[in-house]
Amino acid sequence: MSQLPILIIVLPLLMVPICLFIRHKDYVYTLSLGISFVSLILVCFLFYEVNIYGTILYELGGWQAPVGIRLQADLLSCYFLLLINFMSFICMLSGKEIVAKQINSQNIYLFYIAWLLCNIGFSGIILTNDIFNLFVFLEISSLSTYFLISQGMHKGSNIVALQYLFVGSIGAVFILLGIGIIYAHLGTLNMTDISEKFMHIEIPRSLIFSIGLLIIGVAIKSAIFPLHTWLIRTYAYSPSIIVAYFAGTSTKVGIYILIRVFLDILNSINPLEEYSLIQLILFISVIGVLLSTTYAIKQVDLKKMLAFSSIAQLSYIVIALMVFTNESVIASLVHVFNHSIIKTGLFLIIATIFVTNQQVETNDLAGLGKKYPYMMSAFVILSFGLIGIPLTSGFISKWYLVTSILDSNFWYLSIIVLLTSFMTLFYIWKLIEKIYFVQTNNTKTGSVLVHQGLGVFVLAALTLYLGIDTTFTVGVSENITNIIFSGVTK
Amino acid sequence: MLFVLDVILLLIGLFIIIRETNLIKKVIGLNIFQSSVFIFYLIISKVEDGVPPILMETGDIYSNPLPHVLILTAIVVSIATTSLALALIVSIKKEHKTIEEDEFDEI
Repeated sequence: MSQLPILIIVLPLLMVPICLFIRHKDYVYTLSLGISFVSLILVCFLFYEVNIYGTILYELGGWQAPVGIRLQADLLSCYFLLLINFMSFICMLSGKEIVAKQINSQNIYLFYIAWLLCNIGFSGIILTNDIFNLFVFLEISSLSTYFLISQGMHKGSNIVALQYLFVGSIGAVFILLGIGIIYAHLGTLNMTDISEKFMHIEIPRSLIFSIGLLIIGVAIKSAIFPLHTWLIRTYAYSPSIIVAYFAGTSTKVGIYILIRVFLDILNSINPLEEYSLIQLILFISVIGVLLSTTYAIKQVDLKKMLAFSSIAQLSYIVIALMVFTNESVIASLVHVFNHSIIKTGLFLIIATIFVTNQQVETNDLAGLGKKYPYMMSAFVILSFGLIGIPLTSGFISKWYLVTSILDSNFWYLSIIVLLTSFMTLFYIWKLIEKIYFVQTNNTKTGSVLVHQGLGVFVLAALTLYLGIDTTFTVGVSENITNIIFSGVTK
Repeated sequence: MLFVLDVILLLIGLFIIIRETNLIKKVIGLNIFQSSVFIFYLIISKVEDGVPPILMETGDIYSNPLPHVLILTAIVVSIATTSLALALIVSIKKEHKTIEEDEFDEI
């Protein structure tokens, strides 16, 4: 039995109390960075093993599945694990100076510990096969998230953290209630077991209700329109390095839970179709894409603009999931990966350049093209990826998105996708124009060290690489959907 | 009947969170909201004529102990959330001199 799944969770967890005893900020940073790197390597090994031997199951404490808790590493979980741990490592690597300047120096070691805990929570959510365990890991990551947000320099960050705490806890309680109803009906908490029992019964209304509760809870946690309002403020007021980390991870974990619930537990979305919930969710998402893109154009605050753009991209992913053909699920999986890289890269550039400022306005970008030629070319590449210009990874995912929607019953939605992609051009162009064609003396920016740029350049290079060679993203997504759809009753 | 009472409790909690502007009262509302779900778990675990799931010689029908265990975990989570919320409120009080939500400066 491979020990890798449990090691990915337990090794960082062991590091947490050690860091608490050390308390010295530099040592804690080195340890956290080291353990992130080790987790990344372990995830790569796990991916390799799963690729060769298929799904790996790990029974905790040797208790067999429906009774005990089981960890399950299949291709889908490895795909997301790789994304999460890679983002955590990249952000931590380029974040040392930013954290040192922005966080109260007494709290720095706690900051890294909370970061580690947050990442453990995400990894746990992805690896676990027990639905109640998923709730516990979700709360581990959420609680550390609240702390991380409250450490922002802005004096509103405490308030924003508390508001997110209320909203997030409501979401968590909805999830808990949904799990309770499922348990009351089926008498099991194991996801594989639940999905087997779902196959053999006529699904009653109360179970649909519980699935609905799960969806609402997850939608609150991952800021799916119209439950997104906390995300805008959070991105604007939390420490900028954490924004870069969250942009690539926390919302994507929500998408992962949705995919698990729909494809692995429910086996299909037919039960939702009966109550025409699909049409409802699609309708809401379309409004979400249109509204958030419009708001993004209107924003003056750069972080808020990118936050609105994130919500639009999340709505694309939800639309692709709800269209629910083989190709559209591939499109959503590819888009999760590509968008995560692009958004983290953009926020990382902002965090690195505007190291002493919490609020960054679009006007502050003026004239930076000359001051930071390399950083800004990376910015241009990443923002082209956001629009979906050919030769960037954004183009690949938009291409899959539009073609898969065209092939489905909801072909008219592709018009919305194309239109909003075009609208993305407006706000991105506004930024590029400021960077290269406006001359001002800017005092808000600090100097950039070489290794800080490293993370950004890796992400920009990945955006270009994944735009040309798609064997990894598309190949893995195809394998995932093939496995999923072989068990799906359509 | 118990379920209806429980849902009423849940709605009261949700209403307090949404309606109140005082942050402490909001935390209390959150606690009521969470407790209603804990009680829901206790209701579904009850077996008719069942005794508490403790090793005893009398009675062979006993309530389902698993939801109790689950709820212990959830209670721990809820305590952590509450204490974090209270800590945040303390630091908000220090920075803004108020814990009334409508008295904050525009952020």
